[in-house]
Amino acid sequence: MFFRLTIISLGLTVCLILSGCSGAKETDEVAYVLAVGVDYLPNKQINITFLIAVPRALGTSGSGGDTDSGKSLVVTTIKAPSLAEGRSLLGASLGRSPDLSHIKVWVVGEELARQGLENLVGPLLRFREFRGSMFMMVVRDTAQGFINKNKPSIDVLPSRWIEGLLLSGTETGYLLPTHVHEFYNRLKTTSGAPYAVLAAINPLSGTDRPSAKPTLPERAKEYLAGDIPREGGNPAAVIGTAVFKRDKLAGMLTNEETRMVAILMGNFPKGFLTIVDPKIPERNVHILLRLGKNPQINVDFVNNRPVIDIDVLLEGELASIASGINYESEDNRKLLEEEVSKTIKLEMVEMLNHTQALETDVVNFGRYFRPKFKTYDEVVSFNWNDHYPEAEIHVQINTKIRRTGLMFKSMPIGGND
Amino acid sequence: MSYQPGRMGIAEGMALVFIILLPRIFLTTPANDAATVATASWWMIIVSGLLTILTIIAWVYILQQTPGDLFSISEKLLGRIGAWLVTITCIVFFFLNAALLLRQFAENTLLTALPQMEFSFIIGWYAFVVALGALLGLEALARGTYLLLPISVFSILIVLLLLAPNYDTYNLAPWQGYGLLPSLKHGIQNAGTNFGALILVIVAPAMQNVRTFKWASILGIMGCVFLKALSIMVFTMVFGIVVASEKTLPFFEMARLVYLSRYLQRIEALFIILWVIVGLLGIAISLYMGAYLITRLLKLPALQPIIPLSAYIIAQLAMIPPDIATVIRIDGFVIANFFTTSLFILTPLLLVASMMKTIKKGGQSCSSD
Amino acid sequence: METIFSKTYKYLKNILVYKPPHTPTPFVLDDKSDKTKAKSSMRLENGLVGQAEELQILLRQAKQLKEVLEMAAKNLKAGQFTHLTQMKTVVKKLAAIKSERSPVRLAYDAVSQPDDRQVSAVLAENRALLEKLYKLPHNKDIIIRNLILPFAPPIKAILVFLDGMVDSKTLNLAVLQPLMYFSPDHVRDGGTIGSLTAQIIEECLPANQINKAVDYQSVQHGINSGDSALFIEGVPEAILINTRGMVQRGVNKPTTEQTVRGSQASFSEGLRINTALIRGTLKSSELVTEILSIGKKTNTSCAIMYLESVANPMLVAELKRRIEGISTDYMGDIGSLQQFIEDHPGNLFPQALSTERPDRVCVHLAEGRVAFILDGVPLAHIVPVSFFTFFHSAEDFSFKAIASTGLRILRLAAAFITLLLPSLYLAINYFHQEALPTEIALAIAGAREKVPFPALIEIVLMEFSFELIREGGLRIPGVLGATIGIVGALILGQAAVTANIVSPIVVIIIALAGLASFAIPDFQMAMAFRIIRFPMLMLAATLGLVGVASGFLLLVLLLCSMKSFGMPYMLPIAPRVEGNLDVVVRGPVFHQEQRPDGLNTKDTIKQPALSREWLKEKPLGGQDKP
Repeated sequence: MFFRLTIISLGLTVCLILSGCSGAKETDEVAYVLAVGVDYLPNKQINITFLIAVPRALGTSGSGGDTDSGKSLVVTTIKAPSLAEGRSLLGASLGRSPDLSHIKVWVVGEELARQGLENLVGPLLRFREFRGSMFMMVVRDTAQGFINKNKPSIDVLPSRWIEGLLLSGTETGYLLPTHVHEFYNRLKTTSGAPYAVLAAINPLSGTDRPSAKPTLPERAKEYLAGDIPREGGNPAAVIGTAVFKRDKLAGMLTNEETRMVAILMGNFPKGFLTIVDPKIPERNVHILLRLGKNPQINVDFVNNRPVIDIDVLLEGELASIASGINYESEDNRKLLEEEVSKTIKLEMVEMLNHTQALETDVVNFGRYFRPKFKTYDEVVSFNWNDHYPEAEIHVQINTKIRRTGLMFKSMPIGGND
Repeated sequence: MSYQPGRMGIAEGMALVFIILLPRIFLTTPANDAATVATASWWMIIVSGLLTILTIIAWVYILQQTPGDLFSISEKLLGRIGAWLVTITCIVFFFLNAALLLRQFAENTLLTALPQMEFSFIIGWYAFVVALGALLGLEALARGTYLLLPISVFSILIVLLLLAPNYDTYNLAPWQGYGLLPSLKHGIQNAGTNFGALILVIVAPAMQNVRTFKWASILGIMGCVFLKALSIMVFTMVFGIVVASEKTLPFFEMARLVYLSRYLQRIEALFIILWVIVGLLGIAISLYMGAYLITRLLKLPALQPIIPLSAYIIAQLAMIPPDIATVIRIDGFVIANFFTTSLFILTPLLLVASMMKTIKKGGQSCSSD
Repeated sequence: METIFSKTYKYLKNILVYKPPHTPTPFVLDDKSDKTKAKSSMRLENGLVGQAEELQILLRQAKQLKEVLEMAAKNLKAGQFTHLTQMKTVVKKLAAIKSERSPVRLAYDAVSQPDDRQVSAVLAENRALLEKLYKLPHNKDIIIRNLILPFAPPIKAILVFLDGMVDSKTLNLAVLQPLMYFSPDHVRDGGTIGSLTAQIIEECLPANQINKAVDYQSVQHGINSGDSALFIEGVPEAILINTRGMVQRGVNKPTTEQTVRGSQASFSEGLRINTALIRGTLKSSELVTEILSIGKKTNTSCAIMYLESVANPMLVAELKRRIEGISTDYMGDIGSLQQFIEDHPGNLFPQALSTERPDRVCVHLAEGRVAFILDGVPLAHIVPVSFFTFFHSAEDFSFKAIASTGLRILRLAAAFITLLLPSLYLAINYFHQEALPTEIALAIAGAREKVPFPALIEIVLMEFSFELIREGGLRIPGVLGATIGIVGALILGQAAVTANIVSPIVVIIIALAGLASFAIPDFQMAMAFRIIRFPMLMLAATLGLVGVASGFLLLVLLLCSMKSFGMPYMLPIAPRVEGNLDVVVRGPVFHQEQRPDGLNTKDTIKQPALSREWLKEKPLGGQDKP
């Protein structure tokens, strides 16, 4: 009996070992792909750019190793008819098998986005190496150019940079980090438009190309990605949103509009607002805004027309008062609050008009209509996206300035008259 | 007889029932439910659970009249032919369940954990581990399950909680799904998934009394149903119905989606341990129950020699369907037709027979409580 | 006749011819001739030895008779008739002895082994038997001291003892001195055989333990343990006097179970010292010590101790049954005794708690467990135990509840770490690289770029060297031990990393796993986890996390199927019973009201619900006025 058991267990062990470590990959047999860019090419081809990390330069075995980001990355671009083919062709030059599980961001060129992403994103989530928690970015111009010119100044790896950037979008509200998961969900439902964060390469020449003039009492101009007047630093800029109608790129939202979308989605932890001082128009007032509570959105049907009532409560903290007027006092504060509400309402109405013109419902008001139906088929047949352009939207903004920062009174500068 | 099931208390009974109903939470069942009843899937599961609890209450009555386990009760109430039919149905249930679970978990592994492994090797390895587990006996299986259960439930709850930033409660509206009646009909049809709750009837002599049996079964079913309902609810909330019906592996996808910070992401690999353990335990217990019923039926002196043999047979059965889509279809078909009908025929039949016998004997006999 | 030619020939031959060096014939421990010799020594050869024995016995009796007759003749010749009356006793004794010489008895005695014989009334008989038993005159350990007891008439006696096992002072002062300085008028010869020995025992010998023996088995047992045997002429009994005084180690500090708070006494080799240490802590009349003897050649004493009013009697009976049911030659180690009696000897996990501290033994005895100690081994084993007992240290109850709970959780976590950490690293490294954050994955990949070995070989190499260092550190003589450990580990690790043989991550993982295994309080449990780590590594390298999961599952199922002396191993979690706040989370001392449920003790209440009765009363001093 013992002999039989020994033979059987030895046989099983041999089988286990001989089965050949199936799929086990040593760390030096794998190349980690950090980002993939896809561009449009005629003749049903796509231009695929892979951003691959070189671990040797990042290892810390004894020697310091130079952390020059140029040495730690490899960018390869391949023209191929599909993603799978491109990946296989990549193996021709890469000595290791590409591991796509660390991909941080999908970069899609503008041209391809305009042609339609159905081919790309639709089947994306079937293959096990792609996951819904990857970020999605649309680039003005080509993805290849973006990935090549992207040189993060502080971080070693662009993956660290992009993650940090997108996760810190909540600092300003100027960009909406998008996962492929959200994009995909919006793609497949009948309410809500898919959106992706917008990126571009800044020419770093300092030229100012706002997409709209500031409307009083707002002071700041609106920009799309790549138009900010800046010199120095990383040429890559990520700001704004690209909105899609079904799977085709329909338009782009500036940073202000993106902030409005963030407010309506309840996703606005804080952001600075610069307005013109109501009493002295040459000076500015800076306010740090945040959402007081989730926006109240009530929907209804009036004469078969969808009506949406939006009620937003914003809370503010005074960050700087250049004119020195005591906006902390009761009446001045009310004045300031009204100015802020006016500003935000103007911008919000602008944004809503823009999206209604583009026929894309970025905020996804359609979901508020779902409890009004009885069964699920009715929801599907309702098809909110078609009804969005004709919807009537009423916006109501309340602002309360709660905190005044470290000073609660401003004294005039001595000797002033 | 060397296959006495030993003594078990409420905790182990509950663990047994829980683990035999749980493995399907990791398979395609939630996605199928989302496809057929849309937003009503979460309360439809509760409906099927309630129906199973009703059958348990019926069994409590039967056990109080005629003590013993499934085979002896059927013998007393239905005669030898009836007992044979009932037992053979149960044997077929357990073996089918084991084979289907084995195949689906192997496919699951191939898809997520070890993509380049040889398919028959995975099935062979799982069958081997299951055979080893079943050889250790029911007491070891029940106790091991009870030990590992809180960790498993806790891990599932953690995944569901970590997805909180992605919840969209409006995805659950309208709550009637495709309509109240079709959802109820579907709920009744799906009650067969909970056939395994009868496991404690089969090893009833191990339970100390009928009260233990009742509470162990009911608590097990309730806990499992609640967990499944919660999981489907979160699944619907995160993905929405349309996307949810596409997924092959709902739990895996949910674990994949967790993205809280730079460090808390891509954690689905760690949950492989969870579903491998739960799946293997479920298959081992199904296998053991099937083998146990065979020994009871044929009055064999020992249980252990059958186990390697039945593990081999189940492995071969599991490899029969040609592809994963067929397996999912067969799974749904078998549950809706065979499991549900046997559940709803078996229990009322025995209940009626027991009531008739009681009336013949003239009133209630002393309960064995 | 020696000619010149033959001489020359011899001379040349001497010079020229090669003579191989003279080597003595090697000694070979051949088995065949030994076997026949051994067998023959056990049987009586030629079949004539029995008769020879009989003749010897009869010869000795004849000599004795001759002596008596000569004395009678002398007395008669001298005309001292009074002496003849004194000879009455001698003649009576001879008559009594005659019954010993019946032919049946003679034949039986002649052929039976010396072990089975009874003590004879004839001193010369006894001396002959003792010489045969103890292989005198070769064996220099045994001493036979001739005495003459100063009775009237003087009685011859011999005192037999083993040199080195007896305490000479006790022997001289408590045995020889009273016997030889005995006053002759004190004797009171009642005439019956037993009365002389009784008188000697009760009135003469001030030794503290005295037994009487009639067969040679007990005599041998006594002499071998260190007693002195007194054989008196004419008395068919031997008196065994307790003069044990073998040199033993005293009570030292514990070497493997050190504590910060708690007594620093540990067991020693002597059985009586150990039982005394336990008695010193559990000063209760209900503490019972039963002594069994194991091993045919060693006759080791094994003491079983338990609290009569608490321990389950079936447990004690089962333990005794198992120990008495062992038949073996040599039993000198409590570990091998444990393997003889435990339920799953093939299983790595220990099923009895092995400790060298008396206070730990007492804690468990008070809970209803049973302890057994072996003579010559400074350890006690406690049965039955559950898995979680091995993670309790001796001073758990010395600390407060929260601190103790934290420490226990730490130890359990250490057990997990030592089992799973290298396997998890391998599995994630090989199969699931996506589970790591990108920076860490790239850092690991970068660190491993220069390493030529696959990850599995690295880990196995480092594990092996760690085990080598550990095992080697055990054997190095005291002063160097710690140094080699530190030096070896540091230098080996650092040098290996710098030489790019292993990557620093692997060194850290192996060091962590090794340290974690040292945090487990019980040595055997730590050993079990260390050994199981290796198959887990194999499984992780071939099957990834699926392998780790299946290995872990099988381990848990195996643990749940084990029993330790009838108590399931994973109590109180596996069969769910009321845990008494002492399993993982340790409750406060004043809440430990019940004894562990799985032991099924006779008395389950340890302390009443309100064990701090001082809370009910008012304090003696003043109170804080509100």
